[in-house]
This record gives sequence, C-alpha cells and structure tokens, in this order.
Amino acid sequence: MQISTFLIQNEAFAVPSLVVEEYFRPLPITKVPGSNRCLDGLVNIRGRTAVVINMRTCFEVPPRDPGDLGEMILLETSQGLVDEARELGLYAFDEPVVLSVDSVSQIFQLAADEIHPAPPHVNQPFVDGVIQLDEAYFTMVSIQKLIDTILHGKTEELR
Amino acid sequence: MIAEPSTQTKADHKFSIFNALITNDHREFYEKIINELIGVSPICNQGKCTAAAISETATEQEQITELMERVETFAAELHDGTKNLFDQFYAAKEDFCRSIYCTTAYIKINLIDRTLLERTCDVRSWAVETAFVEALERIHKISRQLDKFLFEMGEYLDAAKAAFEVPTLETNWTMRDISQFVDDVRSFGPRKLELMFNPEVYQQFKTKVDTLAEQLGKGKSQEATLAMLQKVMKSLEEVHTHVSASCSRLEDIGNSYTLYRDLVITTADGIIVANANPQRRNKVLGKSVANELWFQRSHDSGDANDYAIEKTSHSIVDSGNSLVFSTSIAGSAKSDQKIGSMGAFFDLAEEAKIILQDYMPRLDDGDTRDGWYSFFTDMHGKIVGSSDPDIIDVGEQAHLPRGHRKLKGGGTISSYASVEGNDSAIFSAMSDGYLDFAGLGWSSHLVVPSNEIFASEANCQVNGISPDELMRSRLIPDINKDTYVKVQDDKQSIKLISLNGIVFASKLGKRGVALGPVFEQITETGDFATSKMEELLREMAFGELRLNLQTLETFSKQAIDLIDRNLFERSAAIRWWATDKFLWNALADPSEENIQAASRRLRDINGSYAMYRNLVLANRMGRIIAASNPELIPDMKEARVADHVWFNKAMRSKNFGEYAVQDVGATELERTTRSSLIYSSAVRMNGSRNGDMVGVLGSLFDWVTESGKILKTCLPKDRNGKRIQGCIAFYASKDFEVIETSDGQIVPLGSTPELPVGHRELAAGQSASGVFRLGDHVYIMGSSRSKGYREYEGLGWSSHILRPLF
Repeated sequence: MQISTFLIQNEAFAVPSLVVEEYFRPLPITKVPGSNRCLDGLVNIRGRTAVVINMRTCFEVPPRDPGDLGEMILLETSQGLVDEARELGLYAFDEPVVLSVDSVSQIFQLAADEIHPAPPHVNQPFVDGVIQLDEAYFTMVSIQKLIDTILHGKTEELR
Repeated sequence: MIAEPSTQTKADHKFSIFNALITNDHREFYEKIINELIGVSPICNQGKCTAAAISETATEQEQITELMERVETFAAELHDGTKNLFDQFYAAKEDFCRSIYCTTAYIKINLIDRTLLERTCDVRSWAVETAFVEALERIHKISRQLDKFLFEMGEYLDAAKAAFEVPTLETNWTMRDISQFVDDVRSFGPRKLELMFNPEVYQQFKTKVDTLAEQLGKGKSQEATLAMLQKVMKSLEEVHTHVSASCSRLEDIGNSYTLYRDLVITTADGIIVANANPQRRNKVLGKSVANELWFQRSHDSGDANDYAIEKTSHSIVDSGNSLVFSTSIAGSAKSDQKIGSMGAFFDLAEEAKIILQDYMPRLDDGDTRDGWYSFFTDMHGKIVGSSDPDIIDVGEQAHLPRGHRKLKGGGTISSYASVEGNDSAIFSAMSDGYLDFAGLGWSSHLVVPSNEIFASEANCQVNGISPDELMRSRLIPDINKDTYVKVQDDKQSIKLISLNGIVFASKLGKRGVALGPVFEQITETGDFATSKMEELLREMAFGELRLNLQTLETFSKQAIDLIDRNLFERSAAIRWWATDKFLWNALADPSEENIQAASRRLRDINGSYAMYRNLVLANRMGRIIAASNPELIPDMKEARVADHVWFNKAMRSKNFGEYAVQDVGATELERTTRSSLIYSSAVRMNGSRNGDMVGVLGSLFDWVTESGKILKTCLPKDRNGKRIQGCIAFYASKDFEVIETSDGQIVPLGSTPELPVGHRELAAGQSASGVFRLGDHVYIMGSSRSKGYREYEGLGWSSHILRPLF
C-alpha cells in the first residue's frame, strides 16, 4: 500500500495515498461561526466547497505562526474512491473534506504488515496505528474516526 | 605601473556565465542546475507518452499531460530564475564593492585634505610670530649697514696696510704677514651672506679678525681701523644672536610638529636665515631659495592670510618628497611690506605612506596582500604617493583609464583594468577639499584584484545569526528577498505537482506504475534546483553581510583615525602655544597690562582655532589668571584648578615640550557643556627649554561638537549616499564607557554596553566586526581601537558603528 505523509509540528503522520484526491497550496478560508473548534471553515476548490479540518487542533498542538498557512490535502469523496480503495475497505466521506497540515511530505510504498496497532499508552482518538520505516515513525491517521467525531451529521448545518 | 583598460566596463552590467569574472565554483554550480533542468523536458515527454499508452479515458490522459506541462513551465521558469540570480549576484557584489572601495579611496584623500588644512593654519600662524618678525627686521637693517661696513673695512685695511710701520719689538710679524692677514680678512668681504648666517664661516672670520686686531693694536694710528673692525664684528654678532634664537624657536616648533621635515625663514630676497632641523643647518643657512617655486609663490601671495602650497623633491632645504606650505612674513610697521617668507616642508612621503598602507587587507606577517595597491595622483596625473613604490613609482605618470583622469571634485569612478598583469578593479575618488581648504586637485586610487571582489562566500559563516534570520534582515535587498520567496514558492509548487502526480499514478493501479519514476525524477530535480538556488541566495546574503561588516569596520576605523589625528593636532598646538612670550611674561610679572596682553593673545589664538571652547592660563598656585573666553568660566575670579588633573599632570612634567591630557568628562571650568577634553602644557620662563616652570596653559577642546561631527561623518550611507536609518556611532573610553554617541536613547552617554569579547579585546589599530544584540535590537557592528597618530599615542579609545538588521 502507498502512504502519503505530512507534518504537524515536526511530527510525521500518514494517510493511505488512495484516500488523497489532491494536494493544495493553502486557499483562503471562510470562517463558519459556532462550529466545532477543529473546523477552520470552508474553502472553494475549483467550484467545489470543502470543509477544512485543522489537524493541529485535532492533535492538540498550538497553532502555527500567523503567516504560515501550511498546506492542504483534499480527501477523496466516497464517490471518487477507486476500486482498489474500496477493496481495501478505506473510508471516504460523501462530501469534500480538506485536512489543513503544516506541510505535505513524502510518499512511501509499504506492506500492510508494516502498520502496527497503536501502543496502548497512545491516548489519541484519531489514530489507526503506527508505521516504522527505517528509523522513522509515522502515526497513521484514521480518517473515519476523524470524520465521525468532527463532522458526522454536521455538514448540513455548516452549509 | 601598467594598466590597460579592458573591455569590461561598469556599464556591462549583464554577467554572462562565461564572463571571466565568474568563479569556477559558480560555473559548476550553474551547469549542474541547468543540466538538471534541461533533463526535465525529456522526462515530461516520456510522461506524456506513458500517459497516452496507459490512459483508459481522455480525461485521464489530459490530467497527466496537464501535470507534465506544468512541470515543464516550472522548469523553464527555474532556468530563467537561475540565470537572473547569477546576474543579480554579481551585479550586487560589484555594486557593493564599488560603494565600499570608492568610499575607502575617498576616505584616504579626505584624510590628506584634513591634514593639509591644518598645515595651512600652521604656517600662517607661525609667520606672524613676533620673534621672527623682529629678527628679520633687525637682520635686514644690519645687512644694509654691513654692506657699508664691509666696504669701509676694506678701505681701512688697505690704508692700514700702507700705514703700518715696522713692527715693534713685541711682535715678530713681518710686513708680509700683515699684508697676508689683511688680504685674508678682506677676502671675507664679498662673502657677506656666509658671514651672517654660517656659524662656521663666522668663527673663522672672527679668529682672523681677532688676531689681526691684536697685531694692529700694536702698530701706530690704527684706532680707526680697529673701530671699523669692531663695528663689523658687533653687527655680525647681533645677526648671529637673532639667527640662533630664530633657529631654536623653529626647532621647538618642529619638535611639537613632527610631520615637518624642516621649517625655514628667509629674507625677502630668499636667503635662508633660520631653520628647524639642526642636522641640515650648516647646509642651508645663508643659501638662496630665490629660484625655488615655493618661495616665489610665497612672495607673490597676498597678505599674511594667504598661503601657497608647492610640491617639491629637490629643494636646497630638503631633497625628500615634500609639500611646502609657504607664506610671506609682513613687517611690523606696515602689513603690506614683505620682509621675508616662511616655508614649512611637510613630510608628504611619510604621511602618504601612513594613509596609503592603511585600510588595506594584510597577510599574517603584516604585509599588504598582493595585488592591492593604493596611490595618490596630482592634478596632472603624476603619482605623488604610493603604498608600494617599487611597483607604483612615485613621480611617474599613472596609467589610468580615461574616466579616472577626468574626475571632478568629490567624484568617484571604478573600472576593470589590468594592473601589473593582474585582472583588477580600480576605484578612484577625487579630492573635494575640506572646509575652507579647496584641495590640490589630487585623486586617490585603490586597486583590488577582481577575483577578490567576486570571491566565493559559499563557506562564509558569521556567528550570532542564522541564514533565515539574515534573509529577513534589512541588509538583504528586496529583490533578493523576493527571489528567495519565489524560489521557496517554486519549490513548494514543484513538490505539490509531483506528489499529486504520484498519488494520481497510484490510483491507476498497475497502469500507473510506469508513471512513478517520472514523478520521482521530477521531485528530485525540482528539489535539487530549488535547494541550490536557496543556497546561492544564502551565499549572496552572507556576501552582503560580510561586505557590510567590512564597511562598518572601515567607518569605525575612519572614526577613530579622525579623532586621533584631530587630537594629535591638539597635542602639538598646546606645546607650541605654551612657549608664547605673552604668556610667560604675564605669569612672571602679573601686572594688569601683562595679563591683558596675555588674554588678548589667547583670544587671538582661539579666534583662529574654532575647535577650542576656551584657553586658560593658570599660575603655579592653580589660579586662572587669563582666558580666551573668561565668560564661560562660572567664577573666573575664584577659579582654582590646583586639584585638576590637567593642571597637576602638566606641573609634574619633567621635560620641555611635554603635554598632558585630562580625559573626557565634566569640569568645573565649564557651565554650558556636559564634557570637555583638556590638553595642557607647562609654561616655562622665557619659553625656553631650561626655564623655570611659571604656570600651565590649558586648552578646553570642544569635545561634544567636534566628536559629534566626526561620528556623524562616519555613519553608514547606502549606495546612493543617503544615510541609513537607525545606525549608531559611538566612542568608548579605554574602560568601555560611552564618551560620545550619535544616539543617546539606545546607547546612552556614560553607559558601558556589553560589547562582545572580540570587540573589547582589540589591539591598537585593530578592527573587528560581527553581530551585536543590544536589548531588543539586533545590529551588526564594526569596531576599531585607537592606534594614535605619529608620536601621539592615543588614549586607548575605541569607536563603534552599528547598523540595525531589522
């Protein structure tokens, strides 16, 4: 499986490449009042409106310096998932979702058995497991948990 | 010196990568980037072909093709960007070097101008000294009498010879002897000048006359002849008294002002009557300089305020390379009557050496680095001083590009030329005089090897600042900052494009495998090219920083040099003034009249030297008896200075011609200025070397105004000559206390800023530069420690010039 990595406060996280639709430079965000604090607001990507989930807030690290807008990852919608992704049982939301990260990093190919369950002391709600590649560790982010927690049933209100 | 103007001129501002000035490092660097970028096009073509082969739908193929096209566009942009960057890099260095080295050339000529201005004051103030005027007037009068006396002496002697009778018993002289002696004495008649001014000839004559007189005295009716001889001898004796008094006065002045090779006084006809240099005295006294240009010009000069400057290398007075300052000496009765001239032979060779060898990079053994030359040319383009006379010959015509020979006052120019076979850059600046001294039309030239201008800064590091902090600083020109932002932007774009490509390919499953390597290659190339460009930009930034540091060092050096030279003049002046007749007269006999005269004299002197706030004369008890500006002293009548440093130090001085200093600080003698610098020298009876000490003369230098002026001069300016905002210049005492500052808010007077070690522990004459954090401010700072000037040792001060980074 191919994974795409990104950085949050110098820590490496990963999602399967198959759930990534496109990487973006930061786009202007329209704030939405009263929404979950992990939601930055809405962006317009070539005519499609997407909600922006701030990964820093999700992982409870302080916000970036003002002026550093980070980078954006547009996730696949459930419609856009390729067959291979469906076969692997990867999750996608019905509507376009954007992850706001510090920077997107590298893409790796790895075998499924290289993903280990998260150690018990990891008390993070959005983690699927950890990956060890050479010396480096990556935290596998669970898109499903993320969306269930933050977005479930909320998208209609946002719009 | 051989310099052939080359085809590269400063107008040639586009730097092709094939330009000979581009370093090999950079050429390699450039080739690597370009090669990588050229490789992008075939990769993209391969990508497009692969897309056509694997795509199942037209949309898929379009998406891949679009990605490839975006990559190609970026590669082309990066290609142009790299070229521009090198252009920018070299043009910026060239620009900066032009600014810094032209400034250095200008500083050098300006140092000469400032010195020469002081010299014009010297000769004019010495020429009005009463002792010289009196001596010349007496000598003139006696000289006319002597003509008559010597003629008459001849007649008398002839008559005596004829009338002399058979020798008496007491002498064994024969008529022949008498005749011989008379002829001998007569033969001196036409040698009037030697008799008057040459002590040796005078002694020989005296011996002969004495012997003859003794014999004649034994003859009969020789009284008239003897009286005649006596008249001649008396006149000559008086002349010699005046000559030797004038000589010792000149010698005293010469001892205080060591920058002169000799000082001479001549009659109106150009006969030298006195000089300062005892070694040369027998060779020059009584000689005529009537045909020397400096004398003729002094004679043509107007009143006593007028002066002439003439360069000479073969005067009777001195065969060295001198600049003669001359002025006429006016009679005491009528100021338009010229009774003589004064010539001051300024040691140009030594002065030029000091200035020209300074401000040059040195090897560890102290020698100037090869290929660096500094020299002055006169208005005709002749070399008048050189940092390396073996290569750049003094007296020769300088082979300079045309533009360098056509400079206007204060103008600067630079060009590339071959100097002694080295590819070099020549930076020239023409004198624009200083204050009311118009300058001599001289120019200063600095030769720098071109490879040093464009040397690589790849490994340059400066402690205390990170590359990113530096990139954000005010030092970095906007164009470079913009390029830096653009490169980082490009880097991000290319990364996102390739990552998107890889993700896209992965979704094609097996079909996408062929596209993987294409995007990997693009990622690598993009990363390589943009990283290299970032590297180059950082190198540029450090180059900019290094040159800025060098500039600040140069300015700090100028600041301390100007103050040292200024204070040298103060130390010379005080020693000379302390020998003034009016001063010791008033101290020895403090009658109302004498004190009035002394006060008048102090006022006159202060009138021509505006850099003093006050000149004060204290008696042995430490009471001020006269001052040039008594109104500035809070309580003149009660003023006691017995416990003042300047007074005590001077009273303790042992030798004639010593001076003392009281370092910058507040003094009770001043009510309107916060700090003064006081020079002092003991006043001795008769102004003579072994006279008793009768009091002390003190000069209160206007430290606040003068040092403030110099600091302002040394504040950094940008390439257009505009002062850069936020810069600070300050002087620190040997204990690192701020004694004058251009910004009392950030660097307050009396404070002791925490200077970095490298800036504190400087040897005399040494400079340093680096990053300096002061409170919330980040500066770069250049510092230099005083090395004094000639025999003036300096006070251990240092100068510091700060330029804000943000």
